[in-house]
Amino acid sequence: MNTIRLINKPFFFLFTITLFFTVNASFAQPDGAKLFKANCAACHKPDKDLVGPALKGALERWEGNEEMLMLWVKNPQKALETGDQQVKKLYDEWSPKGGMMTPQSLNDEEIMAVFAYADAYAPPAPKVEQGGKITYVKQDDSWLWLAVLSVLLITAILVLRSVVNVLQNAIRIEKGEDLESAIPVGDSIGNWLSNNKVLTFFITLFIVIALFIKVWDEALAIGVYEGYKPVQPIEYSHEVHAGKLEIECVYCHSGALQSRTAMIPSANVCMNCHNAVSEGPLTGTEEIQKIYDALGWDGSAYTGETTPIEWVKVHNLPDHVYFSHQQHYVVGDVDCTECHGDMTKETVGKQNAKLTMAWCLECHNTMEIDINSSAYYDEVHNRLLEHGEEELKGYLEDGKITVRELGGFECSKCHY
Amino acid sequence: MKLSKLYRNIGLASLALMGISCGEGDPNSPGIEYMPDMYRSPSIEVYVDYENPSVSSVRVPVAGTIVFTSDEANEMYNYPYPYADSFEDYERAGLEVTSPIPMTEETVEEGKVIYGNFCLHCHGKSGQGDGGVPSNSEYPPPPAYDGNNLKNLPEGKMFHTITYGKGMMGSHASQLSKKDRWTVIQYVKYLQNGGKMVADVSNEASVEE
Repeated sequence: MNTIRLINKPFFFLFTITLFFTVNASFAQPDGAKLFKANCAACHKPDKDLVGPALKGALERWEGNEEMLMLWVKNPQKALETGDQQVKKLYDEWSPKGGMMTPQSLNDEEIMAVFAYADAYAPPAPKVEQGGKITYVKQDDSWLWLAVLSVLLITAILVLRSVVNVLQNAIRIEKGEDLESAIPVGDSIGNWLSNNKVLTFFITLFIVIALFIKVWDEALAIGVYEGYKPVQPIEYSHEVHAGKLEIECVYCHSGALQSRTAMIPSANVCMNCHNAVSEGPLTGTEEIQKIYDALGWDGSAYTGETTPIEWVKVHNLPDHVYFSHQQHYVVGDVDCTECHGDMTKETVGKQNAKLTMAWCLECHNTMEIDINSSAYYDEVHNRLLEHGEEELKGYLEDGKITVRELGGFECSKCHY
Repeated sequence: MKLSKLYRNIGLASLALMGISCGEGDPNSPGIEYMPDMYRSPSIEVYVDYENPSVSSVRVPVAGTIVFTSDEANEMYNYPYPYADSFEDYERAGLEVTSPIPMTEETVEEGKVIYGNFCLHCHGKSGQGDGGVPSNSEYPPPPAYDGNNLKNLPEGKMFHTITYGKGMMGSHASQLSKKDRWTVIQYVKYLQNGGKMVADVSNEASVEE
């Protein structure tokens, strides 16, 4: 035991010394950047006005009145009550934006460290975005190239044909035979077809079958708008908001929590952040300006002149079917991505699923219900126990209860 | 010759049909519509432009509208909030307004879900102000719940802030009902207290009544 203690003693001593110096150092020099971030950054920027004024140059502005500045930071209410002119001017100018400043429990040294940090602050060099702007609308130009290619090929065929004719005639002249007039294109194809009847039959069969499949596919796609992604009035990016910034879907589409529709957020929800963010990483100020125009926001106040943003509706269900987001998202606990796909990789809204009845029923058929998730199922359970214990046993035969077994296939569940 | 003409016609017709059916491209067109009357509802649907100002689907309610509910337990949440968006009323709310919802494990759990949906991306998982938005962009971080500024923030001020916004935070009144706001405040208080339940005497008293 004693030896262990002896060995440990110098280490302990060293440790104490180090600790003492570290703690002492942090007392001697408060970290301005850290204090700024913890206490001021929510409302102030070092070099720009935000909710409160820029802190850069504050010491200069308050020269000769530093004591009042300290009092203002520590207890703004008290500073205002002293009737100091500079404090009053500051309050009148900024209180409409952010109200009264929160009293800060910092000492003089710490406050000076924050101002020193702000004065020495240099903004980081702007990041150069790789790849430039995202193209939102992809123009499909492939058909144009196909057309050009086929024109070229047809021209080549005709040219080669006439070359063959000229050469054949040259041979005939050489042999001293009579010149034959060239056979018309149509007749020559016809001759070839009647000479190769079996081959022609199979080619025709192939064309007819291919055509049938194509028509069949096209017919099935009538009224199915899978992949529909219309151009929207604002080039919004789900990738930035839901992907990079990790904002939940229902933050903006909060209707999904309480109604049929998930809702396109009204522009006031945009302004929860965009009152301060006027420039985005993809489209600069251009698209965000459209929100401001719609709301009549001139950068500091609302002018009262509003114009609606005319979003294009993407998901259209026929009139004869009823769908509720709340029922699926809140009660059924279905994740948004199950139907909408991974929107964190998309720009504007896109119809990811088919939204056909077969597509609905596919899920209703297999989706298991968590009986404990909602009191609604207690009611169903009790009703079954009372009136149809046999039926209940039927459900439990395979050990799981699906949406179908609780009526998810009944017409009137969705068509009413 | 007759046969060959027939073949030729079939061939030409198929080429023409293929040409027509290949026509894709305009992203603004959803596709071919079968029986348009079933897609164009006679009842008024949301987000449909009826090109008629008297038929608009999403409208702002008349000022002063109060939500009707037959549920007496929730009726109180529909009354107007009597404090204005001003600094004086912020202070007053801090002194006068208290939560009608007690802090129980259940309400904290409910509040956590709301917090995850509406607060987490800025305030962070444990309320340190390190959510996705301030971490991945230039957006200024909100102060930590258990930091100097917010450690002793009364719940009335929290409610006032969610309702009207404060500083960089915007109003969340359109997204959260009053009941939701009070529920999420229970979870914020839980985080403010370092992730522990607060033994609140006043709430316990009101429950016993």
